[in-house]
Amino acid sequence: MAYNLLIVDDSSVVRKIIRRSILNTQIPVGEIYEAGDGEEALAVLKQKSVDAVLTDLNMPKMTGRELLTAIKAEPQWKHLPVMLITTETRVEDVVDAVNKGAMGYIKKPFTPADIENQLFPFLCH
Amino acid sequence: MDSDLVDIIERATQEVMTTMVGFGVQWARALTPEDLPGSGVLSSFSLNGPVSGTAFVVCSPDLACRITSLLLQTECRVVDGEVLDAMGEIANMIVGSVKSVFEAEVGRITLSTPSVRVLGEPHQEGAAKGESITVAFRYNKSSYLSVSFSSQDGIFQGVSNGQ
Repeated sequence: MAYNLLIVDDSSVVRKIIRRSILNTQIPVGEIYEAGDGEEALAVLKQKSVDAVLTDLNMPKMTGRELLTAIKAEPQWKHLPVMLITTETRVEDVVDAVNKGAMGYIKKPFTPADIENQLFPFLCH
Repeated sequence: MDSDLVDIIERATQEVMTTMVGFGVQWARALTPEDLPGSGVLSSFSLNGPVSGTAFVVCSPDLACRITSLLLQTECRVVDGEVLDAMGEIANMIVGSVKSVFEAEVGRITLSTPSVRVLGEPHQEGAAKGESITVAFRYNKSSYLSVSFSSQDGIFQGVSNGQ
């Protein structure tokens, strides 16, 4: 099975870095979609079949936290794995994100193995 | 110079470089900001919270292109918008890692988004007012990267490496 992933970050360079890293993992990937903020991400989710979301926290228009809340509020996306990719590592931030429904977070800097180790278990569920 | 803070900056820089681009940089202990070549890519940030200040990351153009090439797996020969974006992200990871150590001691600090540009006189434009620490690294003879933190309220006093 190949998994469709959605990368959400306001920096196109960061999206490229994450895309490159994902393609260097053993995760079987179908399509990789990209969005520049939370609003764009929701638009992609309405149109495409996505198996997991990797999102930044700090973005214009709609932050990663707001996106997370919006995703978990929709019954059809309630169980969609959402992974945060961030430099923020404060315990309070991680706990807050998990309480809002995030599956976990990947700390920058990261390797392809970090993404695989964090994301793959949730895709296989 | 606060040796603990230098260690923190050195570790954060090495971790980001080896993890994201696959090579390290040599800590140039004797290099001062005045020794740095006269051009580079400057990423600047403001830190606000219990302590406030400014952080700068300056990278020579050739090293910025090499980092971008490896980061994005594309060929990069000149400093363009993509190089500025890539260096802004690398700088963000370095400064963000250092900030995390600060936060463990003093509480939440807000880090601005990076302002990234090409500049001519890094040691002058990036010069800090008040207390300042600069840690410089070499990749090869002419390629360098420097990380600076500055503050007027003594933010570096009492910051340890937690070990």
